[in-house]
Amino acid sequence: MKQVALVLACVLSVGSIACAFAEPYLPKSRSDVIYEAKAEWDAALVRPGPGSQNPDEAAATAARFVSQGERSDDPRFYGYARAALKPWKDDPSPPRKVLEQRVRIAQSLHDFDAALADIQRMLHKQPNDVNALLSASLIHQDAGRFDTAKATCDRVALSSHAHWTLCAADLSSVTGGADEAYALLEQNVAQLRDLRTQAWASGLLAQIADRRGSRELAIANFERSLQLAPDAVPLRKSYLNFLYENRHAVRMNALLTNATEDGPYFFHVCLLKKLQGAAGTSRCLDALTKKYQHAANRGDKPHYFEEIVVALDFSNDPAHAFELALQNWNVNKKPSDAVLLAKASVATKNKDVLLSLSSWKRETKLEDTRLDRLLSKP
Amino acid sequence: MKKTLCRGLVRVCLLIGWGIWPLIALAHQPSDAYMHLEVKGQDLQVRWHIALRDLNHVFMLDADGDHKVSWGEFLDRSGEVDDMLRKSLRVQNDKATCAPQPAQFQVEQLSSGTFIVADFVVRCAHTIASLDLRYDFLFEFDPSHRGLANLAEGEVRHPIVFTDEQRDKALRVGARDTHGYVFQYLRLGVEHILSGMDHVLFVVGLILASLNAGRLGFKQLLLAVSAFTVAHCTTLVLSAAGYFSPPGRIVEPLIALSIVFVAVNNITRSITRWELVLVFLFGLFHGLGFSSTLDIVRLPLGEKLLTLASFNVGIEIGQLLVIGATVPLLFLALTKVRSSTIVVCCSAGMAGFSSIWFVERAFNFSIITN
Repeated sequence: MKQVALVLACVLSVGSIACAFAEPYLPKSRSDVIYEAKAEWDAALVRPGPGSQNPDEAAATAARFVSQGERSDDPRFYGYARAALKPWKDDPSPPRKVLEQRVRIAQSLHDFDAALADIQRMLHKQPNDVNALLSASLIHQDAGRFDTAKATCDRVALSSHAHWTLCAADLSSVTGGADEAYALLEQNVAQLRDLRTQAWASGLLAQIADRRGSRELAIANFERSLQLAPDAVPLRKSYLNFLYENRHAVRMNALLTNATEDGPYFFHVCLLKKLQGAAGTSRCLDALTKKYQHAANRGDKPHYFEEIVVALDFSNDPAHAFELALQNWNVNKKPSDAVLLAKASVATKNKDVLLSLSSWKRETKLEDTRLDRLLSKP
Repeated sequence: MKKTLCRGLVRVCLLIGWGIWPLIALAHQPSDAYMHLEVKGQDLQVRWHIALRDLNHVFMLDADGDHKVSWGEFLDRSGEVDDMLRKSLRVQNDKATCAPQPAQFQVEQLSSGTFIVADFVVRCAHTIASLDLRYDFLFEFDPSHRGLANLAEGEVRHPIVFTDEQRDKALRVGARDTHGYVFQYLRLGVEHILSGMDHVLFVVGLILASLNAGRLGFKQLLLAVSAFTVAHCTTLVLSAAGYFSPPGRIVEPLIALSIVFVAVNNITRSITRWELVLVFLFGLFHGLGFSSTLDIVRLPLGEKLLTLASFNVGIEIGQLLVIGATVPLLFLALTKVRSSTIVVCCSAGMAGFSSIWFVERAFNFSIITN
């Protein structure tokens, strides 16, 4: 096996070097194909660039680009969406539909401050906007501002009890009420009319079950959420992360059957290869490392979750993982962020950080069996 | 061949520098264009790599809707692409706008995708001294686009990242940090002698020549190395400063021949009286070889001298490193093997290698060098 891997590594290295030495060339004839577009992503493409000055039309164009970005994981589409909304770039009070898309883009790019600022503008115009309140509550919760998250979530109850259960259960599940949160959400999930919202609720149930240590229940909920929204990339990623954490290679393999190296699941394809000990893991590591370096060269924000997992599980660089996990923890306080920091702290034997995480967990009353296991390590 | 290898290595360094090698084809790479800019007198040579994915989205190149872009489909729109490129890169020298010439297009398959390579020259009225660059490419379509540029000025590289928010870059060509500059050329000199097997072998040949009856003639070695140093310094200065510049196809075979001569003479000991003169003569050829690394003709006098001095000191350090590594090995070998055996075996190997180099360089075909 090692010899096969060695031969493969040699072939790839030679191939890569040959590629770097490749010279530009002039195609021999006009009919030579020089580029093949991804049909499923590009088929419905409208020409990007400065478009309509009509806010409804521009917002519709931006929405189409954002959807393409979510499906393909190609950041270009978020750029195209931003370009479509350029006439309102610095407008502090743009039309509502433009604001909605600005929030979507900012959230996709993990620019939560910008998203929150636009959500506040939306709420200023329509104080009981359920979607805006839910988004704001979630952003506050993920940043560890639980009181603000609760106050925002409670405002949802004035408009929709079913939607209020989403944010209330989510918040309660990370502040000491996991069992009640699970029961509340399970009772109300059927009342949600929209299938995607039902899928989101099932995803929440899965995460709560996972934190409570109930793997089977988590799998059942993740499966249900994917049945409801098979094309929801964030949900599928969340499920794949769970499966990797639980070393469930068979199910991962099934979910990644059609995943390509140029699609949104490349990181998870690498995780699967790592789990299976398959050939190509080092190629994956190389490609991911270069991707992160490239993002850093561009001045992009780090892909914290991915980079920490890669540093811990692939490149055996706990010091780098710890540095990233700490940076991430300064802005993100989700249970999964706490788990990453705990893992990196255990790997670097940083007892001070583990102690402060224990104290944070006591204060928030977070129930998380994964975190318990990490914090109880001697 | 050597030139191709060097170009390849430069490309590897640039691609690694920008972190796009060896990325496998990941579609979720953001929109980036790579630009290599080189100052040549009053011209700015531009090589611009633009992702075909970007061009296809912006120009809708796929005219027949088969999800494939043919070379013909690109050529049909290449005039518009050329126009856009020339409008997107504004170059000013001393506040005077320079004129971009039409681009030549090719295709290149990089590991991060297929790129159109646009080569063109931006011509300024005077020798470039103070550059103002403005990059407006693609931002109106994708504000997250980046222009990752590398401006080469002789051996110096200025990396530049153009973003929607930072579209302008002013560069004083020739202005740089003196300490860093001296160190850079010093290192270049050391690297040049250590990476060039021919120069290393010549110095080893001189060491072997000073080995007589099992003893190392330090005086003889010192004289030979000094003659070599003075000679290569002389031609390096003259050639690098632009006074004298014979073509590489003459100099390179002569360098190889000089090693053949020293190696054969070490075996036969047929020439002993004029040995120092010959070493000096060969040193002149080696100096011309060193100068091919430097491109300082356009630099002001002060910088020219600083460059030459730093590079020369680097070469001397490299030479001392070769001597420092070889002499102890030689002493170690002398405890086991007779000096004549060492000289004959090593010199025969050197003669063999350098003969092959001579044939390769003189007749321009490859035997061992690729």
